[in-house]
Amino acid sequence: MENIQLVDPNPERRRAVGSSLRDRGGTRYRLLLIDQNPNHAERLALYLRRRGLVVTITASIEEGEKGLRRRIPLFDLVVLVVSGLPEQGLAVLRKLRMACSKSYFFRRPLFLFVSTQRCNPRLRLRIERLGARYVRER
Amino acid sequence: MFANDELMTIVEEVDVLVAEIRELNSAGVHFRIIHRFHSPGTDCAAGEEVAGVYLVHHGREYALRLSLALRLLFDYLARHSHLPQSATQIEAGIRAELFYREHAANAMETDKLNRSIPRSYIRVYIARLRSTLKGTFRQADLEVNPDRILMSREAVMNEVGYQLVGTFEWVHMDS
Repeated sequence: MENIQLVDPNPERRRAVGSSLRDRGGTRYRLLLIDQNPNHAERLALYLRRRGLVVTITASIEEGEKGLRRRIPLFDLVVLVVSGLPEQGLAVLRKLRMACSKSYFFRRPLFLFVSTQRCNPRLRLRIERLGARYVRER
Repeated sequence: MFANDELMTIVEEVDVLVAEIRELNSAGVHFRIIHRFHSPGTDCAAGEEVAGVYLVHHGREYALRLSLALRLLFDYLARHSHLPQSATQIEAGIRAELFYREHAANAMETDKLNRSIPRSYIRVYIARLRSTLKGTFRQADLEVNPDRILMSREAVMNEVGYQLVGTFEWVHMDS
């Protein structure tokens, strides 16, 4: 899947976007959306963009643009949407964490693990131990 | 445009996380300090004990493993978080305040649950506090530099003032 930098080119529409999700300095928060379903990713990105976030979509951190993996700590939020088995997402989450711990940047994004399937409590605990917040898409 | 319910669950969760980032950026980290042996109707009065210090993150508490002297120092720095203080000022402040002079006196007559904090020890205690903070931040998966929470502010001359940055709340327990 091709990466899309979802910054609205239309300035009027950009102005109409709510500024609720900006810090006091006016900086917009950067969000990385990892989702293998392009339609779902674009719909979700649209809503997030409307709330003032700068959204970057990628299907996976491996296939993403060159250097994306290295830049993961520079994002404020990482949303990982797992449409298959939640166990598969766990491996990706580990890689994301690894990318952050090896980074020389002294920061780490907050992770949101979105699963479309029910997740057993043990797995959920493992996800939370990796520092991600878990949410099930209903 | 109306959002689908399924997407709104995620969007709302993102809102919560953004609020957390904003709070961390503006207010710093949040600590909860437990005072034991308090007399009803009085808060932070002499005779109470600083029983524990917790870091609160993602709605969870992470205990800071601090010795008695470090708990007293942390409590003192938290109370005076608006003011950087040198080692001499800290020693003087702890000696002057009745709360620290009569620490845990509501439970014990002896000084077993009290410590004096000499000026010469403070630099070492600060280093230990930072080390404990680092461990607790790691445990809470919070990527914050402890030097930015327990700050050393250099004065014009050769003096360093120590200041805790963050938000603090005191919880009182009867026993």
